[in-house]
Amino acid sequence: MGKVIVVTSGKGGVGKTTTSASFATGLAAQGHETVVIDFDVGLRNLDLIMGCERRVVYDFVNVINKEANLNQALIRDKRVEKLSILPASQTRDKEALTEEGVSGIINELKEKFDYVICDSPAGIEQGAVMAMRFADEAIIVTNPEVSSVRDSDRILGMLSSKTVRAETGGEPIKEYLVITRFNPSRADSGEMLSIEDITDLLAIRLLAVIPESESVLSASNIGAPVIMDKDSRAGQAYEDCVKRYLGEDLPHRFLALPKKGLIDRLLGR
Amino acid sequence: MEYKTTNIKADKFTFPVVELLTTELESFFNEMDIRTSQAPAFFLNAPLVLDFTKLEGNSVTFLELVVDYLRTRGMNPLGVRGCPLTLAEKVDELKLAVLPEERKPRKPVARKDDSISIKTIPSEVPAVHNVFHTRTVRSGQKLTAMDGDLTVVASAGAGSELIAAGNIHVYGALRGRAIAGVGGDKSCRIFCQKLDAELVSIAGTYRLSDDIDDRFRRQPVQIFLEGEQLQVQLLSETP
Ligand SMILES: Nc1ncnc2c1ncn2[C@@H]1O[C@H](COP(=O)(O)OP(=O)(O)OP(=O)(O)O)[C@@H](O)[C@H]1O
Ligand SMILES: [Mg+2]
Repeated sequence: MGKVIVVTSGKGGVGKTTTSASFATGLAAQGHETVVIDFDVGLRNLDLIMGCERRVVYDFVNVINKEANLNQALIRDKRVEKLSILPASQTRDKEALTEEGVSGIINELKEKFDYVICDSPAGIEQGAVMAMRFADEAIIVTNPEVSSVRDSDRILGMLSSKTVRAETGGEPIKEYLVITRFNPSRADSGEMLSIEDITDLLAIRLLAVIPESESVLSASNIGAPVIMDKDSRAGQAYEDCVKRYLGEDLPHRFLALPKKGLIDRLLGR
Repeated sequence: MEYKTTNIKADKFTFPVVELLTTELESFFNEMDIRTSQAPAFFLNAPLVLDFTKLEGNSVTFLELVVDYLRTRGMNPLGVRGCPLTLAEKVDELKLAVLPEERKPRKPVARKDDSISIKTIPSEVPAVHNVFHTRTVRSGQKLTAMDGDLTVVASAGAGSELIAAGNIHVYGALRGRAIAGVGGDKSCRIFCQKLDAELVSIAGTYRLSDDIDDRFRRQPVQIFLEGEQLQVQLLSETP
């Protein structure tokens, strides 16, 4: 039986979709059958980041409404063998995600895949609740700012009350923290929260710190998750994130400003 | 400060308690229909308390449907008791109060070396019911201990609420609201390892974060009432 992992945050635009795409790609590249589902019905995005927007025929809501079966809607990634995408519908709203429908699809996916990654929409309403509803584990995506951390705390509360695991008194959901868009110089100057501040406030295991990096934007423009960009700092941080998740003990990188080399210093760069 | 416009005081009322015995909605609805038709005047606008103590495995939807049923039939569910924590958020959303468990008289403890049996005098002292919580209390969550102390062996986040009839202990950071002595007990105290609260209150006297001296910030403290004044004291400075 596969594991269901929700990628969620409460606050919008913090990097959930970026993280879902790279995390799923990384797991698949490590040899695990992985599917990533876009729960952001009405604001479909994941297919663009994954570069499969032109191959969407059926979507999540079609499958819920039994207008298509799961195999018709799943898109196999062309670059990474074990990776599949279940795109969201752009023309419906989040009310289309019924509990019964979502439950059926997740159960079916758990049979076929090792990991089912659920890319949650922002907010705390229906769409976000459905994305977390059947989760075994959760990745909380947070930016180093007070409002984002507060929203993450709220989402953590919902994970312990609105999920099936919580309602049936099962084992608590395993929670991981991914801090994205981290900018060491702004953290040092006190403009942004530090890593210590955030982990102290949220008190869950830190899985990764992803630096603010322009390569994220260029990656989304070419439709290749940034983890595939092995030269970029954000890509490397996501690579570490996946390996750490799978049990490797790696130190956190990119927490400090890049050290300037001798040449840089001589040239005053 | 002296209050001139209102008096706020504690009082007791008797409300009918609807003790739920089944999670089968159909039969619940049917029976309630019969009962209400037998005494329509009694049920119209009647304030009710829902008791979940005897139920197992009740769900969020169940609670919602029961409350919806009662409200659409002109009844007025005010609160719940014996509700599992998993329903807390829904209870909140439905604007219901969380009420204390039924008070059971304390059982007499028979001592072994007592050769003569002691007649028990029915205890007037209400049962103390302390609440322990070992996970981080998150923003938006509310923990209550309406019959005793509330102890949190973790932190309580900004936007969370701790409410107790007795004392509140937080063995981590207190970043949300802590409201102790809600029944009016002025001897209650709040203790925490790291004070960063949005609001602290004892028996109705409160203080906001802004009005707490900076030297107490993120420090282990106790908070108590001295006369009408709320006092904060570093635990390291207790005599
Ligand atoms: N590490 C990063 N460095 C720079 N930009 C980033 C980084 N992570 C995400 N972004 C940018 O932030 C924006 C939001 O990212 P993304 O769509 O992943 O967030 P989201 O949480 O899924 O948003 P929504 O709540 O709308 O679903 C995008 O423009 C993305 O390129
Ligand atoms: Mg998104």
